[in-house]
Parts: sequence; C-alpha cells; structure tokens
Amino acid sequence: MKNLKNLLKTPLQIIPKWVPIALLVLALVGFADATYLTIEHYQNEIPPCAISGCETVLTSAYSSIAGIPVSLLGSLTYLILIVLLLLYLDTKKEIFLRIALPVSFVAALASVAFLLIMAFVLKAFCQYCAVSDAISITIFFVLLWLALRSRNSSLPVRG
Amino acid sequence: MNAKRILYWGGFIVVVGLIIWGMIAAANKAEKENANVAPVDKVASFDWAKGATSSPVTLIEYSDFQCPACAAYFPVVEQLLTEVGDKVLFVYRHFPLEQHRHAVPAAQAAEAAGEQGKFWEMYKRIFETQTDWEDLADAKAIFAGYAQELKLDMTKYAAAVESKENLDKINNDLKSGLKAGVQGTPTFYLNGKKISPKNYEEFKKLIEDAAANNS
Repeated sequence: MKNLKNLLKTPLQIIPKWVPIALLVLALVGFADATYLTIEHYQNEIPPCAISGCETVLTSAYSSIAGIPVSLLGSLTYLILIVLLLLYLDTKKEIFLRIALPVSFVAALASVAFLLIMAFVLKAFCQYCAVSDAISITIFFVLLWLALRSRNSSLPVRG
Repeated sequence: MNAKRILYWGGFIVVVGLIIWGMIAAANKAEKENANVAPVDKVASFDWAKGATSSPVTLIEYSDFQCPACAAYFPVVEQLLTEVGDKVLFVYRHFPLEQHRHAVPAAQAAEAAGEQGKFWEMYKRIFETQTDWEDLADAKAIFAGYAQELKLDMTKYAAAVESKENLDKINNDLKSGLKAGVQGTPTFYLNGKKISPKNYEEFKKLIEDAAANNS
C-alpha cells in the first residue's frame, strides 16, 4: 500500500515536453475525424469515400450503440483526453496522465474491436474509422509507455 | 485564475469550436458533392433517360462503353425500348472500368454529344462500333469523327469533351454505381432493385410485371 502511495505521489521523471504535445495534436486530429463522422451521421449522409466500403461500415449495426453513434462516443472520448492533456500541460500534475490512461485504454480496446469487425465481420473498410482507431491505439501505447517509464524511474526512490 | 490561464483555456475552447465549425463546413461540402451523385432508385435531373418519362418504372443501367457484355446488351435494351418503351423509363449511367482505357474517353464523347442534344445518337454509334476502336491506342479521333457525322458543332464538342464538368459527371455516375454496389458491367436496376435476367423474355417480363404492379 505504501508502495502504491509512493507510486502515485512520485512525480513523473522528466517527460520531454513534445510527448504530451504530440499526444494533444493526435487527440485533436482524432477529435476532428470523429466529429466529422458524427455530423455526417446526423445529416444522414455518407462521406465521400476514396475506397468503397464506407457505406457498409457507417450504416452497419456496429455503427451505433443503443442509438448513440459510435463516432459521437469517439468525439467525446477525444475531448476528455484533450482536456486531461491540457490540464497536465497546465499544471504538470501527473495525475491527469494517470486518469487519461484508463480512458485511453477503453478507447483503444474499442478501436481494436472495431478494426477486427471491419476486417472479419463486415469485410469492408472505412478510412475515417480506421484513422480514428489507429490514433486511439497510438495514444494508449504512448500513455502506457509514460506510465511504465515513471514507475521504473521511481524504483530507486522507493528503495 | 490568472490572465495566462484564461488565455490557455479560452484558446482551447476556440480551437475545439473551430474544429467543430470546420467539420460542419466539410460535411456540408460533402453533402453538396453527394447531391450530384444520383441515387440508384431515382432518376436525377441530370441523368440520360429515355422511354416513358411519366412511368413509375425505372430501369437504370450502369455500363461501360468498352465492355463487350455492355455492347452485347445494347441491342437488348434497344429492343426492350421498342417493345415495352411505353412502360419503362430507361436511364444510362457511366461505370467506366479501369482496365478499359477507352471507357472514359467514350463516356466523355457521349456526354459532349449530349450537351448538343445527341447523347443517344452517340451512345448508339459508340456501342455499335465497339470492335472498331477497342484495340486502338487512342480512340478519341474516332469519337470526334462520330461527332462530325452527327453534325455536331465541333468547336463546342472539343471544349466539352475534356471539360471538368463532363469528367465530374462521369465520376459521379461511377460513385453512384459504387454506392449502389455495382461490381461489374452491365448492371441493371429495376426500380432500385438489382436484376439479372437470364434472357430477353425474362428481362421483358420483369419490366411488364413491375409496370403491372405499379399501375
């Protein structure tokens, strides 16, 4: 328990500033992407697709959960991540990155599921969705890397 | 909260607002573009249509001028229009396949002729002569020759044949087909439903049945 407390209190070892900024840029791109799909969803439009398949994906049963379009959930998740990253950049308190980790974990898990659904169930491809999925997964791994890094670096402190 | 912080979070709200605004603009632009992509179950104002203009039965063909099967279907469609042309509105949409290098130039020639009211004449000429030009390196001169035979204004034809509007229209037809799920040519849709008649009689019967159901 003491270890855990230590872990939570230990400040992250110097995170290069570009890492959270890069995460912020990624989250903004993901937010724009998911927001675009959300707007298209509510306009009952299918975005112009470079490859055919968007229609299949964006009108499939997997495109919404209980009437809420998946893209809207994506938008909101990105917005939460953006706020957390900004809070971190503002206060430099690592707790915000620690909160972002499980949020991003759920997003990444959902993204993997959606990529698998596109590949194996629908056998159709929607590039807007894939971009968002890739960004979610990337953000999660970077946050995970930061968390593990800070844990490792805190070892000598605990010892 | 100090001024710097207000600026920081104010900036965040502005950026998020700009993104949402930008995406709405992008979505509206996409919607405008989609407006020129005709749906598979409806005739658009810019479609090439002939037959019974007031008929509720529409037969839409997605076709490629260089595809041999499409040329084989050309007389079938012509015969259908002679026999049941009073019951159906026939629409021709371009679906140029990539492996056919003359498909787009042929479609461009037909569209350019259409601008001068001779789409169907050019359509007929191109399909009937498919074997004459399919193996050529460049068939544009042949199509221009047909335009001359059809007594088109050649200055207007030359300007129209390579115009952006012309190419956009062809691409929008292609998009319409992709959206409908066209996989090959020719593909026929009767009132929005894909049909694959095995012979002429079956084809005719499908149209007659659709006309009977709609009257």
